[in-house]
Amino acid sequence: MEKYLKDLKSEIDRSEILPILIDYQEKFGFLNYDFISALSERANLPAGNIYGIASFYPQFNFSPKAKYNIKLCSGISCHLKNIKELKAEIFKHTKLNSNGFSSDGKYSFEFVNCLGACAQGPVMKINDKHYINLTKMDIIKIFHELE
Amino acid sequence: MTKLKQEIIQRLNTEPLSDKFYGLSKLNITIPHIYCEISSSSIIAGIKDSIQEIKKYFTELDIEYKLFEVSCKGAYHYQPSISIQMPGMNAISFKNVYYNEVTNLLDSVLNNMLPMNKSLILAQYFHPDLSSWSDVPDIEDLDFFRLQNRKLLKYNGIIQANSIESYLEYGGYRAFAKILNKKTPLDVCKELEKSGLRGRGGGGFKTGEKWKLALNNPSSKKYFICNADESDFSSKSGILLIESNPHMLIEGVLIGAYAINASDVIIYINNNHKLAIERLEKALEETLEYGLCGEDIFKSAINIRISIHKGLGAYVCGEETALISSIEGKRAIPKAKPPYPSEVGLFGYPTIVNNSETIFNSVLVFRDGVDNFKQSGTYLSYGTKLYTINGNADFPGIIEMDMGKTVNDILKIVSLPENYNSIKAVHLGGPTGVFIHPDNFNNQITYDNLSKGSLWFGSGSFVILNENNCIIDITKYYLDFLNKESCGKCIPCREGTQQLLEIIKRITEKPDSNIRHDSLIRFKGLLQLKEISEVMQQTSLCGLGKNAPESVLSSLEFFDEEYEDHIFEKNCKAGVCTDLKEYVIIVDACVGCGICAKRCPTDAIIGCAKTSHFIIQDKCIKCGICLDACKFDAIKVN
Ligand SMILES: Cc1cc2nc3c(=O)[nH]c(=O)nc-3n(C[C@H](O)[C@H](O)[C@H](O)COP(=O)(O)O)c2cc1C
Ligand code: FES
Repeated sequence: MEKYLKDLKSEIDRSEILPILIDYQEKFGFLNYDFISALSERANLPAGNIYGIASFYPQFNFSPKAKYNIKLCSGISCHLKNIKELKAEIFKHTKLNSNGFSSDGKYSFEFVNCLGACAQGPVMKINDKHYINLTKMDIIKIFHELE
Repeated sequence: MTKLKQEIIQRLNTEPLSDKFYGLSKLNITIPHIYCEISSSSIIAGIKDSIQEIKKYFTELDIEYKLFEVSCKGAYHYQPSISIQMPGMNAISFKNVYYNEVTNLLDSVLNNMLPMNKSLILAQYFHPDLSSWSDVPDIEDLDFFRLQNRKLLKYNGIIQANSIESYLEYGGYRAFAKILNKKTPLDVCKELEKSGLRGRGGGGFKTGEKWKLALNNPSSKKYFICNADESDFSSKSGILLIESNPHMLIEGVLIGAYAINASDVIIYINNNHKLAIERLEKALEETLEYGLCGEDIFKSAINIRISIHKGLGAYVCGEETALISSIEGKRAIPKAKPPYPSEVGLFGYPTIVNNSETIFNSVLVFRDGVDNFKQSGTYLSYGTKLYTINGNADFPGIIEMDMGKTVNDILKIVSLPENYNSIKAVHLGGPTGVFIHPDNFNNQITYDNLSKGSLWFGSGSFVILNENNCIIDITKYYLDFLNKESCGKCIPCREGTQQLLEIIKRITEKPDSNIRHDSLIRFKGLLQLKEISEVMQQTSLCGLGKNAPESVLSSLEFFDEEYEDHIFEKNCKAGVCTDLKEYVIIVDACVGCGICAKRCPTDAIIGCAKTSHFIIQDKCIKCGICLDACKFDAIKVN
């Protein structure tokens, strides 16, 4: 983060904040408080304002994700293909808590809106890898491999 | 001025365009040409693996070849798709070429033979001076393409998205060059007005008129914004266009900026569309290098700076005033209109916001002429419209149709005839769209939603629903989405979506207790749905709240029997609303084998071995696994 901040301009215009936040999250996976407060100094805005901008977009994370971050598509096409069962199967394998994290901290889970392969649904993404045409058997296999 | 820039001016003004078009089939080819269709969806479908396999194949055999990355045809069911042209032969297109098919395919095609696996063959691009493949249809004869009117998508599957030369070859930037040479900004606005082009983003405002408003504003600084947010996830048409032809978008925004005298263009795009951003950035670099944007374009003393602004997928960000707030670095909350952005917009300056598809269409108007543009479409709705086909389609993908076509016309392309009868409804227009009953499948889809019975396309998302889908479940799905995405500024929208959702949820769930008049309470909910919807439509601040009840109202109007089924019979015919059910174990029949408890994904079944088990209803997700697992028929569904 230090290095990232060093490369950043010392004065930041308000309209540049969102792209910077996006860029930061892409590199580090989540927005931490230190970064937001450092940014707020340079943009000459209260940290609460920056947090306000970021919290508007549901895709910003404020805490790190687990080692395996599971994203199950709940876009309309995948929704029509009955992802309820798949979700149940995932929950069974990962033993998720209500906050979306498994108790051993290995998995985190979230629903996302369309992963972009609607014709090949249902679609799941674990970290950067896509799994298409998912069935229950696929999920059992995938988790077997991950363990 | 550099030599390159001068060359370009020369070329744009003098080089004639060949009017014959043979797709990928080209003369004078000496080595095999391989064209791989790359788009964000084909990458997920596995095109990259196939490409690797192709490269491996050729290096192992040490054969000379050329590999091109071309744009995607928009037919999702054909992905991953590649085309090959052998010297002297027509180019031929293959579909579903997964990496394990590559070797066999190339083995035969390189010997000028068709592959054994006939299901891979799609079509050929016919050329009169080349020999054709026997028994392979011409691509223009395939129903999927023949029944469309592909104007914006004409070069999809052919043009190389990451090369400006490829765009120039197909007539790129000529419209802009012509405008710079011969037309004043006012001419441009007037011509666009004449073409009758209207915004494709959902508002349907006349684009020419809008530009003229901004042009007539004397402000010294103006902005032109391309709304490529595509925040409605079920609609991918804008992104497909940008991915396949980023230069056309750039040409369009250049025309727009010139027409309103704006010196700054901002392309607002959702960061989730990585490939589109990557290609746009590359395209911008190229245009700068060729002197097509930036300072003093073509020595005309006109400066147009183009920048890309990334957003991060919130539905309401697509609304123009919210989008402007987002660019300004504020929370993306819509503002009351008027004042319209064309008067007070970004940073207080006049601003034009246009949908990406509108901008693509404006290039067509100037490239092919107003009359040509007006040939497609119907009265007051000219041109074509892209639809994203989702749901239970046999051929999902993105298709382009004339304005004024009917739902049936579209179904003919994307559905097999034998599946027609199972289609229960179509949902058109994304989250704020409407359900269409089969009785209305013959109504035209146009802007003119005032005239009786015509339909409104909204974002262009077209979801086909059949017997296995529950209308109420989908209404709930969209309401849930809108409820989450509502920015929370105005009360009718924030509270309205919440209340609508609660009522619908109650209908799809098992009654809390077995009170007798429960059904009546639910039925009362239906009446309240209408009341709340009316208030939302009249008092919400932006289009999200105004149109949020559309799905609810149209489902109430056309599918009331499904509501009645849910309320009075507690029955979902499609079997989707499982929450209406209750699974219980019959104590006497259960032998306590424990199979169900082991299979249960949520550990909702408890009990000791050899004694009757019990289902904890709060944990049960009604997946039905236990029902299948039980060998003793000890589980029943209420
Ligand atoms: C909730 C909401 C979401 C919208 N989303 C988009 C969108 O994703 N893309 C878009 O181009 N327009 C969207 N619009 C419409 C824009 O506000 C605006 O009308 C449009 O960009 C104008 O461009 P046009 O004249 O070319 O149609 C949305 C409007 C509302 C109310
Ligand atoms: S809806 Fe799941 S990938 Fe699009």
